[in-house]
Amino acid sequence: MSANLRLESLGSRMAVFAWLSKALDYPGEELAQTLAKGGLVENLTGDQWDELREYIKSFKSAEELLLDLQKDYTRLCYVSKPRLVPLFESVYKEGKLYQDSTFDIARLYDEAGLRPEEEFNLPPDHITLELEFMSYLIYQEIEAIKNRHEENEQLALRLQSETIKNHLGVFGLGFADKLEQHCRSPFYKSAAGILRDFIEYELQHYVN
Amino acid sequence: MNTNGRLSRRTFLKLTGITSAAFVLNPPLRNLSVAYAFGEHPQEQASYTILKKIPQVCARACECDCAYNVVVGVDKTTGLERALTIEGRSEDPVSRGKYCIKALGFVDGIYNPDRLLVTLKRTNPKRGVDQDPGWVKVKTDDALTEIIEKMKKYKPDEILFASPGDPYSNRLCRSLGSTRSDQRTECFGTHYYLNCLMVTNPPNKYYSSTYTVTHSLWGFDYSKTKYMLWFGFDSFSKTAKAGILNHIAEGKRNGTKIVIFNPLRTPFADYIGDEWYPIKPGTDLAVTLAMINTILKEKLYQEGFIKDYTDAAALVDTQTKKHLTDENGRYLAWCTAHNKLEPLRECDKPALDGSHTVEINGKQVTAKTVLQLLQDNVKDCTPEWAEGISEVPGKDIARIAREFAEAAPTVCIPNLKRDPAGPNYANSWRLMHSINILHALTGSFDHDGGVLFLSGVKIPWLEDTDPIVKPYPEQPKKAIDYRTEYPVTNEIYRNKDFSAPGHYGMVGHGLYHSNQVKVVFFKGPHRGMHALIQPQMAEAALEKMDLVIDWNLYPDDGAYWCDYVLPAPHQFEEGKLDIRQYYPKWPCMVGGVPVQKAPGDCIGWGAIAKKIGFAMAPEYWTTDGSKDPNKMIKGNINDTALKAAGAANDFDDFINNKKAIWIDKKSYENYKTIREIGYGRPDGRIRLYIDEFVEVGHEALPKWAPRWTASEGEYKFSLLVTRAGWHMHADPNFIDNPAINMLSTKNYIDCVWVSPEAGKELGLQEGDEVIVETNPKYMPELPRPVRSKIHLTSRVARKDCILLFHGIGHRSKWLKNGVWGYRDGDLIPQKNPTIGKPHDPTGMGWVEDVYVRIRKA
Amino acid sequence: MAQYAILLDTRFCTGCNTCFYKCVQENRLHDVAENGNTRTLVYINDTGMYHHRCMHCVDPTCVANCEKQALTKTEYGPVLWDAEACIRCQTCVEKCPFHIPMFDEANRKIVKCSMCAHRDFDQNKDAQPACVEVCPTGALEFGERQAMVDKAKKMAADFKLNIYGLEENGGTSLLILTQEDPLKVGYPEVEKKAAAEGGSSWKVVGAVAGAAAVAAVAYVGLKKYGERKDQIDRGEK
Repeated sequence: MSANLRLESLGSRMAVFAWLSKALDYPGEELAQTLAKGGLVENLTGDQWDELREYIKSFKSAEELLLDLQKDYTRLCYVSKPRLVPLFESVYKEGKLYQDSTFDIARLYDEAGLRPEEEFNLPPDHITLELEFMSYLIYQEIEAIKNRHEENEQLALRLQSETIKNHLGVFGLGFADKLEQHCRSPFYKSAAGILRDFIEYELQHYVN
Repeated sequence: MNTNGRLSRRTFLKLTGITSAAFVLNPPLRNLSVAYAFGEHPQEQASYTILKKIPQVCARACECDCAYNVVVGVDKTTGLERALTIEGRSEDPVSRGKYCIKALGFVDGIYNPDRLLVTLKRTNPKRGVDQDPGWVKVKTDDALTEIIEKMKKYKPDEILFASPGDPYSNRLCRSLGSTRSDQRTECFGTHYYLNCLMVTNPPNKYYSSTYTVTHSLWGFDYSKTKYMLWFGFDSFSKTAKAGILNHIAEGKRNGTKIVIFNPLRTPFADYIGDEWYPIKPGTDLAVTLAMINTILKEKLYQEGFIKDYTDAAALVDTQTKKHLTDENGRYLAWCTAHNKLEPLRECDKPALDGSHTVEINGKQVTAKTVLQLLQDNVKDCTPEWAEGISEVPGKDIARIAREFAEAAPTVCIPNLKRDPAGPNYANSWRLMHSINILHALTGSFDHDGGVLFLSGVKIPWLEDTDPIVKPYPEQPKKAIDYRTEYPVTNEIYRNKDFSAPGHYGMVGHGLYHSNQVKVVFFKGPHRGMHALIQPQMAEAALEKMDLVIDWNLYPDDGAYWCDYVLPAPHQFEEGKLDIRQYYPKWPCMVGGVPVQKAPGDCIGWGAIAKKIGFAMAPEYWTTDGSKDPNKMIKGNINDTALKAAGAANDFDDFINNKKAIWIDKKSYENYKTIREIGYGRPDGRIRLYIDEFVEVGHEALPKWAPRWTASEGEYKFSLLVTRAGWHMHADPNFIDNPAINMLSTKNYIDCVWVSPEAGKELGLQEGDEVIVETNPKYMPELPRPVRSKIHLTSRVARKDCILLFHGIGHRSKWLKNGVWGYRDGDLIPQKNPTIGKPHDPTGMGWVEDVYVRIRKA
Repeated sequence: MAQYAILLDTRFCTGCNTCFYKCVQENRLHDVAENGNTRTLVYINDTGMYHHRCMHCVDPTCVANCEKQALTKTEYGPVLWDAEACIRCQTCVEKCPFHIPMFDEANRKIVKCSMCAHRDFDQNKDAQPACVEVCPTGALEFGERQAMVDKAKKMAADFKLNIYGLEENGGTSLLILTQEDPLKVGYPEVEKKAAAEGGSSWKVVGAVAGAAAVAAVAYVGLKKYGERKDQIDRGEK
């Protein structure tokens, strides 16, 4: 793979993780505006996106779309009991909040020099944080390649591999399954599919 | 979406095409921030095994409030912490190093994956248990602002706070002029009101009911008493109260005699109880009256005590049926030395019995002593008579009465909650009256080894630390819980102790049958809706409300009628100071420190009350009555309490330098507290005779009265309610714990318990599904039968009873997955003043005064 | 090395199950407990309190029948399970005359009491099993086996009680005092044999090596906590 092609590929991976991190966080105006303007579906071709296109088109305004997304997300991730789509890795692995997997991922953040923002105030194994972390690691890999900093490149690769293998490889897939199974909004169905396929791709290609 | 094939590399490249270019310049961080530059972490990872112990006090899972340490594992590398378990504190005089399964359950409850971490706002206006509220997440602070704007549109009597009488709730309700009503207090209501009327007469320097957790106003010296009578005190809920159990076990090992009256044969009856009588439900009163009869007839009472410390020798006008008093309101007695009327407190030799004709203001009055009236009152209540009612052998009642009196004054009849004399039956207030009379006749009140009165340690009210600058507005003329219809208790609530129990058993009726209230604010996690009797009536009423709010640890059934649900911190995420007056032998204070910062967008009750109070009635929430937010009241009640007791300079000093515990192990001074707080200050008297009851058409001394309901035809099973030792109401710390649910299932807590004999007669087998229905005569509106499996067990010792467990189950289909159980409250009819007042001047709920039928489902 | 035992006086047991949940927390057994598999659990039976927990036989049938020596009798009392040596044949589940070991299918674990061996009571004289530590009424007591046997016999004589475990299966390290006939309470009928004094006929393994080094505090945190438990389960050889 040429250096440029590699950087392009890394940029795409980083972007997908960043996009998933945003898409799987509580929906805000920015996401609804982007979707309402066709910002996602225009890049996607094929029949399997038709339902999503129709869904987005069915709303008169971005506000209406946003409300629908928020209702679905709140029902799935904040209210249901037992929680239909838990946001935290430890719930999938240990059945509770703040368990060993929470500590483990936080240690990986720490190794990368990161800390959750003070105001985040939720367990650090939140899906959106883990995805954001992957995106950051790929960013650092790109930076290391550009600056020919081999140590940082290796560190970035190792942390990515550990995050995918020990965390998102199980948690991300579990999250995607539950999201797809319980969501009402085709957007979340699509997001779940993208998450699953992407993590499977990562597991195949980027885990040592 | 991936059914048509895997996402191709090409597809995801396309997918990212919209945004990828932007990222290469800046690190893609939103919720993570850079602490070290990448690759510059020191790479030395500390071990996972750092431990710390955080002092806590049990989170009101029972009256004990055991002090203990929460053992927390700390990951030094990331700063993350996790509570692992509990460790006892042997220096705590209540728990003495013990704690129970509920304390352990709290630890795992912090990490319950179903916790509510954000504020929910309804978008679908249609309310109902199976309606989808269309919740969206909103910022807690924004939600409160919206709530306040809406609340401002309503008059004070249109707003109801379903809340315990804590300092902040009290100030909020009083400053707004709105009614406060609460289930938690009602559980102790009969105790509380009888205690107020007979002994404590609040306000006084010792008693403030919020801080006497059970409103029982005293403790029992379980480890030193010689003889105890348990009228249902051994309920299943008691099986796990470590702070009580360790004392009972010590007493038992030292020879305490324990006699149990309970239609259930609980584990206590297997050994800890020396004698056990499967009494007919709702007839305990007959046994106590017969005991009083025996003790009086055989003059087994403590004469010195009742002369010096009670109104036994006070004269009562036989016409007006009220105490005779002089112009200063002092009780009068007939002096046998001087043959004349004298103030009781000045009389050396008052007549204890007899009828006396005396002259008051030139009028001849026939008067009898209280003791004489009591004798007259119980003269027909012989042990044999009581046997006919209670099915407890009369000879045993007489013997127990004698043994009890002989062991005096180190005897007691513990009553803490919904056990003896709790709001179980329409005659429970009379039972509480009788129990207090027995304590008085035996001189066990305020006596080492008997009934321990509170120590002088007190946590102040907000009114003490931050005095109001103008009087509070009037409370609503007509309260939605009908408390205004009950003058005896309403007087106490309005004018003596605003934290007094509410009439929550009637809130549902009030909301359903009137349009007065438009806004209901439930406070008190997992207690609001779950705790109501016949919740179906409140549910129907809430459908028509304009605004309903809940502050809760998790969304429960009640949420499906709410417009907003605000997330409450877990019990271990709050600091606290506790005086544990349930065991008041030694003045003692213990502190609790938050185990962690509450995650998400949780908000404490104090912050909610302050925000609403300041927005709606700022003159009561600022130190100078202004509207200046910089002058908000501070409410540092803990600092004040600790300083006043000489325990510490302030709360921080207490936690950091005093190990969060303070005990004054002074010896107990018998009868000192009675002298200091009684009605006839300064020489203090317990009132056996209650004039206030006469004023509302009831008897001033307890008389036999049957239950409100009666067995009829198929509706012949008296409903008994208890809860498992590991549950507290519907607290999610326990009912949402899968391991504890397994324990419940293995012990049949999810079943209705039926005696094998009754099962045989009904043709029912172990595990059969049954329908349990209330007699429609007593539940004419909105009946809701219960469906459950049955467990045939000889622990239900009578074939005329069935047992249900309290505080389990959910109804909403949104909450049902994986949750089991039924709701005992569905079977308990709403009370209302029309049916209530003729039976009970206190108006407390009668939660077991119910007969049901069972049929195979 | 002293041999230890637990004495359970069921008269003082109220069925609160604090012992059960403390055990779950101490040994991080939440997952298996959810599946109904427990090291100790109290059944509130009609005739009394039945504690389902390992009797720690002096001459354990499970040890005798374990081909892989995954179960061992220690010379200080507890019967321990070695997760690494165990092939999950479940012979112990089948053979135990007290019906104690449980197999957790989901986690592929044998679930049975270790008497909290990780608390290292031989090195730490104040240590006791977690269940004993918490029992609110003091119904559970822990000490050297002979002292517990003597106490059980005295109490049985003084209060006319039955002792379960003195002779059952040749004697056990959990001795249970009951007022009622223990078989009526729910304890299984097990052949009585002369007490196997002086140790087992099976190889008795030594003390938990190195336990003192990590057991200076009763609880250790997080990761290491779990690892430590696994070491104990494996007998930490």
